[in-house]
Amino acid sequence: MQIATKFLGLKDIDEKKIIEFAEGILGFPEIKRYVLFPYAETPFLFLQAVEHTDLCFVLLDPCLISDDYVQEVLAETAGSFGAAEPLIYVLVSVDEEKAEVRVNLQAPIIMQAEGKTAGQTVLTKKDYPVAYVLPKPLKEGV
Amino acid sequence: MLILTRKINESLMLDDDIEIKVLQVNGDQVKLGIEAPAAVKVYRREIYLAIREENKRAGHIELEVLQKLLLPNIKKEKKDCLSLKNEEKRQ
Repeated sequence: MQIATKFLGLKDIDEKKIIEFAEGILGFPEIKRYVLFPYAETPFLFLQAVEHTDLCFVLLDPCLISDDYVQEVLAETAGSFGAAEPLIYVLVSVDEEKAEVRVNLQAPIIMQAEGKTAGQTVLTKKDYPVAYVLPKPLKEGV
Repeated sequence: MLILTRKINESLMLDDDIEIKVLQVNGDQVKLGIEAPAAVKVYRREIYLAIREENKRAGHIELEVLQKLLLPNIKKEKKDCLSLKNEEKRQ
């Protein structure tokens, strides 16, 4: 099927690649179907809502920020969404006035490795920043 | 709003399977214990609101701004870390 995306124009997608967010994303509970696209030449990914062209999140793999964080999230979320070893992403937002790019470490996106189901999990074992400002450069060597 | 008075170690039941117990009162701080099925989500309200707010901001992200702020610094390099390995498995 073909969908209109916010950043990449019209895209052909394989319906099998649609990711089901059974409970949506906090603040967007009604929007449940998304697809992932790579953002070429960057470590970011696009999480585009299938039926809502205007809604496209940008995701980052948190291993670029901290391997310890990834391990902690894996320990807390193993088994959720039917995934023994889920994929973990964090949502990216920007604040143009403050010239900040930031990620939400408290509520990562957890996804089955097969990419069928996913959800946003609020971590409860530890407090992380909801708006962690990415350092520049992202990490040495990146 | 329903208003109830409880003493320490007394609790409330919400439906059949959610218990909220008053564990300790110390000045203006109240320590609560909550027992609920795993599917029930319990958040501190201010964190819940902060996440929702940040999600809204994330949902309105504009690429030009991200590019302007970050792109000179980012180049995709395969990193030897767990989730990128998972990513490879997926593809």
